[in-house]
Amino acid sequence: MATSEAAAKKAGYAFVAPALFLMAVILILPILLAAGLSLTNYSLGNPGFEWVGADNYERVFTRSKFEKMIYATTVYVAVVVPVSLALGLGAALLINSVRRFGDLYKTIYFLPVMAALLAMAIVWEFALHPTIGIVNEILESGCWITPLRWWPWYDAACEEGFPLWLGDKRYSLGVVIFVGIWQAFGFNMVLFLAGLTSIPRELYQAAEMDGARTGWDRFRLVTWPMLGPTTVFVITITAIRAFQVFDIIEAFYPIGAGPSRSAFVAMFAIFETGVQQNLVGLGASITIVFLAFIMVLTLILQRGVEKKVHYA
Amino acid sequence: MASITLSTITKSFGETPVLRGIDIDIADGEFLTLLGPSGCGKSTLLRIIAGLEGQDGGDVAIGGRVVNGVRPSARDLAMVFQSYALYPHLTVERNMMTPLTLRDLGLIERLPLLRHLVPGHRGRMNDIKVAVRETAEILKIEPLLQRKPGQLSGGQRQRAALGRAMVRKPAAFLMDEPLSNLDAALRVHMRSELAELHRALGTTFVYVTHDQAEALTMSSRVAVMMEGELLQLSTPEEIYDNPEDLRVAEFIGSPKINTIPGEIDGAGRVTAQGLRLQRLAPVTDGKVTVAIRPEHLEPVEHATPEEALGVTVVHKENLGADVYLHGVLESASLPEPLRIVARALPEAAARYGVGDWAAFRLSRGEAMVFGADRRRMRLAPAAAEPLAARA
Amino acid sequence: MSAVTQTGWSTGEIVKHTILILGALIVLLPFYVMVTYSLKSPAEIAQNAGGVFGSQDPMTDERCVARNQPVRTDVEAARPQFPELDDSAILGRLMAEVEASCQVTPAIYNYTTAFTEAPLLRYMLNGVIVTVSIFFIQVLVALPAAYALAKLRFWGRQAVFTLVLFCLLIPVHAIALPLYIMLAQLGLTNTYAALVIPWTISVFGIFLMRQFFMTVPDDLIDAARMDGMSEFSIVWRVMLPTAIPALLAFAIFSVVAHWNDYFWPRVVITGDRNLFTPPLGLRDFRSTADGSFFGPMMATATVIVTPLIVAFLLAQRRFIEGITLSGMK
Repeated sequence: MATSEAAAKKAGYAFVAPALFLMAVILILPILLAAGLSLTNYSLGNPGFEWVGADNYERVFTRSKFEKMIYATTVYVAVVVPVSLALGLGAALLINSVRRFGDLYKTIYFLPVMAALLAMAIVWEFALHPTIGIVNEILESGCWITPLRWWPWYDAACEEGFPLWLGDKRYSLGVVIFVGIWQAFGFNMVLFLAGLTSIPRELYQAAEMDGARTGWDRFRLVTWPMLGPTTVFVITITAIRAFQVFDIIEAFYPIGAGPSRSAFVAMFAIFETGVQQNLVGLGASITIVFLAFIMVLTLILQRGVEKKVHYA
Repeated sequence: MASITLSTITKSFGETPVLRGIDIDIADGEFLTLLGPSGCGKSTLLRIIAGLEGQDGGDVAIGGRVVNGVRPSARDLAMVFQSYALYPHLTVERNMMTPLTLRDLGLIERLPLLRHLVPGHRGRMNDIKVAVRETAEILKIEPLLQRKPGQLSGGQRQRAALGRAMVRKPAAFLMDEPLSNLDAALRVHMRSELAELHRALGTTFVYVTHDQAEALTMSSRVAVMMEGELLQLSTPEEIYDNPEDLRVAEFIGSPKINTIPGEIDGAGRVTAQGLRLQRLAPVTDGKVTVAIRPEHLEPVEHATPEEALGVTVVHKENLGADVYLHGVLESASLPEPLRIVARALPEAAARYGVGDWAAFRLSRGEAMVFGADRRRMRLAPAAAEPLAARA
Repeated sequence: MSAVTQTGWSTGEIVKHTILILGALIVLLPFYVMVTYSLKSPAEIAQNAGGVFGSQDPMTDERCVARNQPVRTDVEAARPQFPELDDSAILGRLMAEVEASCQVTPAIYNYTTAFTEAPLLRYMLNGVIVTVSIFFIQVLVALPAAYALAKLRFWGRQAVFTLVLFCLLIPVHAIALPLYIMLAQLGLTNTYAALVIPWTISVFGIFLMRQFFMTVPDDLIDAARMDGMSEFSIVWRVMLPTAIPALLAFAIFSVVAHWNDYFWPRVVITGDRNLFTPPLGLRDFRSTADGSFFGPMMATATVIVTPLIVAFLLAQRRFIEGITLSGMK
């Protein structure tokens, strides 16, 4: 078997070589390149560049524009992750508990995951059009319903007109977040549904025998703990995706990321600074900060939290 | 502690009937085993007692109280599941505390943080912990209390599951094949431990298994079920020695009982492949099945065709203390050769090699006869017995 | 869980369905807007009229009119037909004729405009070329590597696998800028290569396939070796067929991600319409369109979104499996 072993060894190297090469060139090299460029004032097309030390990083952390970037990105992630998680879990629990049409709801809720986000964002923009958009039309049509008018915001809007949505800086980031949740929660729902089906039925029966009478007791005792690994995974993947939000903002605000840069998220900042304005050094420093943030967060979620939710 | 009464329980899953009118009276403190092959409805019956499944018809009464439609948690029963169903995120101690906290503490007392505000909380928690500790002592699992189920071996999990069931002192224990996930040696060991536990607790046990050895070794009574019917309900000895139904006879006993097609003549005499029984059947004329346990056949060198079955030895199954001789009986009246197994002492078996002819002689009075409806026929001693034996 | 099995609609059930239906309406709202606008005339869109499918009353295609505007020579050529009319009257007559010939149904107008005003077919073709090439190269690279990592013993294997795990942490979009600089330096921006190259290595694909191959018994591979197969043919003739279900799921995952991807094409394709992928095309359409183009634009969006949605509806279980297979980690 010596010959076979040697052949296997040789084949092993031959088989991983292309992957290794591509990983090095496409994934590792750019990180090193970005790290290097972030210390320069390089621009595409310029013959040379100068080392500027940590200037770029200083700008990222001091300029009000990037303060807005950090704010918008953080708010976006901090809202989209928990809300789409809660909605995904809620939808999964409801769908799992209804006797009929569960599959139909599942299909519908999953549609946004399949559709090109850019296209759907453009459609949302239409739907949110202040005068001819269907959203305001629907909202207006409810103004005669008295109970709804008890909601002060709604009452005021009925009197004074409904928001401009995208054009209003008070709502712009909110609308971006709304579309982000709209797109993401179906994915989470499917993951939770898969998690729910893998919970042994006997555990629920044991809980019932042990005296768990209410749905809440069963949820606390069985469902929620057993969904631990799924939940961590959902948080991780939703957070990574949310950090990279771009399509919605580009669709809504091709220039400037919204009224007074209210939706100036990290990916948009990298694109605008590094590609459009050709401030490669500055863009690279945002890239590095951004990347470090994502990778550390992923690691914490995977290593730190996952230990606590895997029981085997 | 309580008796459990089942009367005419029926249940179907869709079109398929799984229980066809089961009546069982389980006495207080009894160890009753529901035994049968998979799919016979025994687990469904247990789950109906537990309340995890609703019956289509009939009544379940626990301690004289009819509990149809009463939630499982209100029936005061504890169940040990095949997979143990321990909560994997809780320690053994917390697992065992769960039934007590869910029962004895109010909703607010079970909420994190808020529970500390409820008066008397600490005292109640202490009582619960003491109860858990006492149970753990009985089961010898105190050192495991702080571990999670994932860190336990199969046998330890089994004990933890028992502990969770025992800790709240239920009216009866329901056990759904609790030993089937253990390895063979541990299973044998746990059999005796469960039997001892039953004696010590004196509580009603209802135990489901497809393993006849478990049923015969532990139970006060065994209910043999097949195809949704209760075939026989009696003590283990009766079930083995006096099966009322051919299916019971075939299901119980290893190696399986020998069954030989036979017939009854006009005088009520039973013959099967030349073998003639000395007792008379209560009816005349008809087809029957004669069933003989391997230990009631003895290989002998000389025998008349009427007292023995002539076979060709095809296999010797050596179990050490005993040897089972497998013979094949061929006859024109049989559609295919019949396999007959006889038990022999090693020195007797040594006389036969594979391919040899052997006579398996029937011990007197030990053959059982089953009619075409598979029910047992009671044979009467014949007046002409000595004559027949001579003939 | 209660022992009494309920039938029919209980209050709880009705409440649940009410919530779920409300959610479904919000989820479906933009799809409804997209499809219904793609069927309506500009006037109907502006006035929010026409119901779900639009009235489908014929409308005048202004572009068609502009294209066929009668000119001097047309008037001269038409003189013999209308001897009794003067030139301006003839012009009026010809205009009326043109307008009459430019009457179209809004739905047809929207969809034909979507395909004629922009090379939408070309965009779709580009989308197919890019997604298919990406998937094939990913498999070509990942499958042998995954096999080597799962089944072959060689020095450094653990190190390579650790590198794979590390690379799983890197989102390709996040390093788009340095990748873009590299491609620009190589003169590769505005090429198919630029669209495909960054995605040729799917560490996720390697990881997934490796986990899958770990479950394939060694005996199968040893049997193939005994039959005299080379390692190369083991990968493609033994491992590939066993991995079909996992590959199918990965294919769906990959195709959906890259058909819908907008960010990366936006970075590396600037201006050359012939290289636009569907989302880029839609955005381009939008930035050049005026208000009267809402209908055709929604038609474009519908055309872009439809293929995956239809495929999803036809093979739901597989799609959900594929999209969520990242959950296998």
